[in-house]
Amino acid sequence: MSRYPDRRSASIPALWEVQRRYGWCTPEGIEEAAQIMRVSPAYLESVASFYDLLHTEPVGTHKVAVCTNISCWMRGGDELLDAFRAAAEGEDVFVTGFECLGACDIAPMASIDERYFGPLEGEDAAAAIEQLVAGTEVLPEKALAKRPLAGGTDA
Amino acid sequence: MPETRVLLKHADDPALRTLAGYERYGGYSTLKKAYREMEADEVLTELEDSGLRGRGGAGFSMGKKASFLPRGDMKKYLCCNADESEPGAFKDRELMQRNPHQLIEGIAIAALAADAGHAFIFIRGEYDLQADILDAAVAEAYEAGYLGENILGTHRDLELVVHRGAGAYICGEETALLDALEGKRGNPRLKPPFPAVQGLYGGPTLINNVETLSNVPGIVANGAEWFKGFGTEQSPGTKVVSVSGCVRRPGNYEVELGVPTQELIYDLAGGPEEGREVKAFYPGGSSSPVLTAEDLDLPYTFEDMAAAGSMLGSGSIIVADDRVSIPHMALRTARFYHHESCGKCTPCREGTNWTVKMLERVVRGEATPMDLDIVASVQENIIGNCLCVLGDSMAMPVGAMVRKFRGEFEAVIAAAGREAVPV
Repeated sequence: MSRYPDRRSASIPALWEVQRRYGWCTPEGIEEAAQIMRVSPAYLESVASFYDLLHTEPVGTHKVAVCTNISCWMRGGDELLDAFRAAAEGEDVFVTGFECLGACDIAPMASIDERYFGPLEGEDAAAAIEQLVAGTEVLPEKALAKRPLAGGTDA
Repeated sequence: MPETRVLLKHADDPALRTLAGYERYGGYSTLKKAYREMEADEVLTELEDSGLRGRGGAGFSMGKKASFLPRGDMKKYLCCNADESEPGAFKDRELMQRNPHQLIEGIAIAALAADAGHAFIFIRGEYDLQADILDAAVAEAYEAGYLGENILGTHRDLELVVHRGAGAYICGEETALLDALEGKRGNPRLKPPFPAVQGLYGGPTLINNVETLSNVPGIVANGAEWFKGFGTEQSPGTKVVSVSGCVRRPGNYEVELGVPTQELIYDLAGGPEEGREVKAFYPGGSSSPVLTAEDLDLPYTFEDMAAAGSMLGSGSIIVADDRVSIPHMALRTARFYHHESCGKCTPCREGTNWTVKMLERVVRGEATPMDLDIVASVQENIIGNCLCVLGDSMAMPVGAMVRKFRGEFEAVIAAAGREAVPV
């Protein structure tokens, strides 16, 4: 809170912290954060319910967001979402379709536990879910973090 | 056609991400020069003279925007808009991931020009990797004395906070961004007052996009004339362009503004697959009215895109080849804006809702050609009637698709009437 000129500015960071601790924005977590911030729990709830990344209901331990927006849709994003849903059946993984994640260069893509992977094929979904559940590195070959610039090295 | 890398220069070197790597390429020397040798007005004049136009979408002169901030002792703020959420745009992600210090240096210099003592980078929550990279880079910059109190012993201070959003396209709208940063739901505010006069916590606030601010060190180091040596008179500089959709090598390419759009799509991004043709493209993100194959030879500038009835926007090209169904693409576009509408004002909330419903009827074959007129008139009634541009951002591309591809819409209605098409 001290990083901000006004303590209310800490509401999104505080809700992130609640979510990190409890897996989602639980009423108890919101209550605690509200007490520390000296705002009402209802105020924090109203903020949490506005944002797509803050969950006001329980979700799985792991989270997969599959982009189904224009560029990903053109390259099979809907089918990829279906593949993830099928692969995650019965597992502790929350799968959801998502609006543009800002990675159309690796379409179709998914954000898996807040890291980007793509371009993905149907079979990658099953592999990713298996790795998530086993706790091993997810799709090391498809991580955005390891991708070179599209145009290669400086000429 | 080769790229012209200015902002992405050395970006292929992973070491650039660290302070040591950035300094090895001359990084932070401009900050030193500006803080030690320049007055705020000199920096501002350089930025104004350069003609740098905002890279977030509106294309407004960055220097002019900064000059709107009042003088005086009141607390002023600088916000870097890193909420890149426009479908098709992913250039800021690349700039932050590969060269975070260039952005931090740009923010520090722009804060000097705007006399802001507190700066924020509002980054979309989905960009977790990039936010981690920025956090690390900001910590390094504090450690080196480029941020914080008494920067380089000049008695100038700047606090810089990386603030993560939590998933809402609307927060890229500058007044909604301010509300989100103040800890509220990200609803746009009525303008005026503009943020330059009354922004964050009621204080004068300069809000600039990541790419805009990343341009600042280069301009202040080399001068406005150097910058104007790239691009065209009305669109000076280079631009990192995100090209995606039906192309063989989607990605970010940095070019001088003014290159033929065709070269961006074909030479750099590889064009559509063998045997396929460009049918339509959004030249500036999903909010820009689509253009067709006939427009491919247009120079890629703010002015040429505007003259063609569209816009350069954030500089994000989405290519649709001849396999893509335009009515389905219109529906996909409308659904996005419907989902992201904050609901505060009626034309946007209701307009996006009804547009989605009507386009669903079109692709399900339950519409009549007359309904297309209604779709078009709804778009006309949204444009210019909303608190912010989100509603217009749907109405412009959807309106253009219905206008330019009406025959295809009618054919889809007719065909879907005969057999069920999945939506």
